[in-house]
Amino acid sequence: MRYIYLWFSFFKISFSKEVEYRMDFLLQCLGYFLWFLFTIIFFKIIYSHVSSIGGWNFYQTLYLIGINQIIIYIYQGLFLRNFSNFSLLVRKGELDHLLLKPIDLQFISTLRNIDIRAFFLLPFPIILIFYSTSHLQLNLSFSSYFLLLFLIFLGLLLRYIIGFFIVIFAIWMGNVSSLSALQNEFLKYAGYPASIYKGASAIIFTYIIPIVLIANLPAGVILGKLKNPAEMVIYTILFTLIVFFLVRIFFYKAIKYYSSASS
Amino acid sequence: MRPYIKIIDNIFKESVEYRLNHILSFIVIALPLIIIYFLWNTIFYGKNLVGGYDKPAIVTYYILAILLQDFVYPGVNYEISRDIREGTLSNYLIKPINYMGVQFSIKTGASIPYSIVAIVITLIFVFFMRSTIVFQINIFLLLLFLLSVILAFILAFLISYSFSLLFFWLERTNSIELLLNAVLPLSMGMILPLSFFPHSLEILLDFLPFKYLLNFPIDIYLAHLKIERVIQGMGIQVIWIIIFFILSLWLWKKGTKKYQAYGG
Amino acid sequence: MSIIKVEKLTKIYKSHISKPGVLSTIKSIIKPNYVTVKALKEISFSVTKGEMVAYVGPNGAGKTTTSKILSGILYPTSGRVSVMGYIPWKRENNYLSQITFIMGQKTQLWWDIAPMETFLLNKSIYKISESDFEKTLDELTTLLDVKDLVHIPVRKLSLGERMKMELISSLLHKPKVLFLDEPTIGLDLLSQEAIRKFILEYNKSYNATIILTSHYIKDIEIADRIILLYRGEIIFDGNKEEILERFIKKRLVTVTFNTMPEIAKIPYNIISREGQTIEVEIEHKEISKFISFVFKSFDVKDVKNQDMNLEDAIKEGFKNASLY
Repeated sequence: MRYIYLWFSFFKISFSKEVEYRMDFLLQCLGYFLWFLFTIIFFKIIYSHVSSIGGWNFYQTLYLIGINQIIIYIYQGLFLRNFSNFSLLVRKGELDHLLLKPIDLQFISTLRNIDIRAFFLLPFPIILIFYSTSHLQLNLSFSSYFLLLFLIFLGLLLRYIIGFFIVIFAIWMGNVSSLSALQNEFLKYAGYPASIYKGASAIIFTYIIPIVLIANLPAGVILGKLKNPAEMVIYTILFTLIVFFLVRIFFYKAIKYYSSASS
Repeated sequence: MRPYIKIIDNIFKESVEYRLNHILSFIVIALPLIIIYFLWNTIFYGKNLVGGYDKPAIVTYYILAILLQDFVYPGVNYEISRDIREGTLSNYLIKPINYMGVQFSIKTGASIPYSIVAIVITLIFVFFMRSTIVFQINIFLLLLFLLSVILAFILAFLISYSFSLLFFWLERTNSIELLLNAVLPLSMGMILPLSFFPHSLEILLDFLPFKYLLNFPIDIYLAHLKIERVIQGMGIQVIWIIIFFILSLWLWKKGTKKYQAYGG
Repeated sequence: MSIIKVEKLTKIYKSHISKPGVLSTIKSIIKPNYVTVKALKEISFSVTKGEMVAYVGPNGAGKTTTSKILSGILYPTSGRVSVMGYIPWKRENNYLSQITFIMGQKTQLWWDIAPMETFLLNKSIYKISESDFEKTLDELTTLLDVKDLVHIPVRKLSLGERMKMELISSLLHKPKVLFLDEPTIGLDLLSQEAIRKFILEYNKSYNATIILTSHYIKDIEIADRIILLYRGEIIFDGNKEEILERFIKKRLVTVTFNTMPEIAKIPYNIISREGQTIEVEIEHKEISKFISFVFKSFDVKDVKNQDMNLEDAIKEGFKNASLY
């Protein structure tokens, strides 16, 4: 309960900071919208030359892009700022301030900064999803929407773990300019249809570097693109849980390393 | 020249302090290469030509695009914005040294470790994908390609430098950043080769500088351009270099005047 | 012979009133809103070669502005300045090669690599010959006792060590005029002491002209001359003795008697009394009169003249200035 209350106060602080600069706010929203737009343009042009990419037609791909973008925006809104600030936090020694607080360190260091712009953009991918749904003649029951929401949540959690895992390197390296670039690469390519990977690459990108599980799992389950959806969902749940705790242990080790190495 | 070479050396030494960073950038370059390869492999399934490119051409296009991106993307230079905002520019003003030269050296120095990583990745990639890659063996074309890349590097630096000098007047960085990020990726040919676009748009892009940063050098490598077009394109590169060079000198003059008037 | 000449130097800052947001930024480019701040009001002074001058003044008095104008970072609104015959804000390479500006709060050192790399960079910027470089570097590192540290990355050095490196990198080209802006800020007492000693040493052995700003009284004490700046005006210009004379009007004198006289017989302002001892506050100019008076009139065991305190004098000076 205390943590929910705390999160709301983070939210309030972030919100009042943003309201100060209204025009910048709009500009930055536009900035976040760009890559979404570029991805749609990219696939629109590709599909003007071919009718299918690995069995996915244009509207199915749009659906996937929509799902991925929802995850991206929520991820940006809740976590990304905290992650991109992390190496700075370590470098400037601001982490010390957080270490002094009687709050779970993972909670405060990864949820402190909320980027509310990203939430304002959520309607766009949702519209895209409804638009493509109407072209795909999907008849979805109430329960499948519920399933979709759950899978999106799972994808988001997985995304958080991957992002957090990348960030922990910062504690060892100090100056990690490639870090945010790496974050972006993961965000970008999760929205490509899973069927582009074949053989060994399919296994690698599904089970080891699970780019595929983030957005392709929700979209694939709903669109019936997966051979064995139930097993995949169970695998993802287990993978997410186990890695979550491993990353948490890894994080505290890194913090221990940080506090013994710095002066 | 000596001080500028020493700056390149220092930047290189500085980056060597963070070796792990380069391992990370290895992944940053390699991951999209692999994924884009798979994507296009699938797009070409049962087809020989898409948008005027065959499969080896498009795969080569993206390999080069990803490798060259870091050299030729004229993003906002935060070093300059920080120097202006925090007053560290004064450190250069009190020395007999040219600031544009300093920044160019920094950019060049920072590109060295990246190039090493990029070359290693290319070699690995080329080894595995040798059947789907265009090997350009025409030395003349290779030299022209190299020359156009160097011109693109200089042009990219000057565009980025000019835009970054606007921080003499602007307090926050995000509007310029947004402007650049909205225009560049599509118009440079980072997202798609420009010949995929509608013809009218292509013609417009011929006159803007952005195409000559990325799409143009790669098209030279792929032998997609007649020699007259290559020479014409390089002429346009040089013209834009001159324009942005003069613009940046003018902005520097105006900007330092303001800086000297308002205090660092 | 004066090396720095400043005549009626005035600097008026026009600062933007900028509101956040892009629209107002665009508006302010087209039609800027200004507030003007007079940072310097027609100040004049000159400095002779080899002199060490301390600028003293509260924050915003115009100290840094003066140094920045003299070093060419800023240009003035009006007035004439000549340093070694050059006009600073023209920023001629010949001029820049003969000066240095050391800021206690901003570093020119490269953070992630050894200070030696910055030294080498400056060697080529200032075109220092190999033999001069070796010699000067050796002298400076010996003086500051940091010989073993020049190959350690800057980020691993302590604040004091970093400042020493900063000094070395700024002095390799043996500048003739040095501007030091709060060179000891934030340092521990020993490092402060070392830097002060070094500055003094450098001043003497190279006959360098030094303009120093600081808030620490011990830094100010090493200067030959003190210029008090207050709100853009020079309220005092002279040496330490003169400043004491000028601003310490009253002093405390402690007198201890062998046999205590009647208080009423002493026609001065007695502040306290304890046993055989009294403390008397006296106008500066009447001190000798007072001392001869007590010795003549009473059986005196001891007279202690309280030290004149530079810090008090400076504070007094600013207090006076603030009244006008």
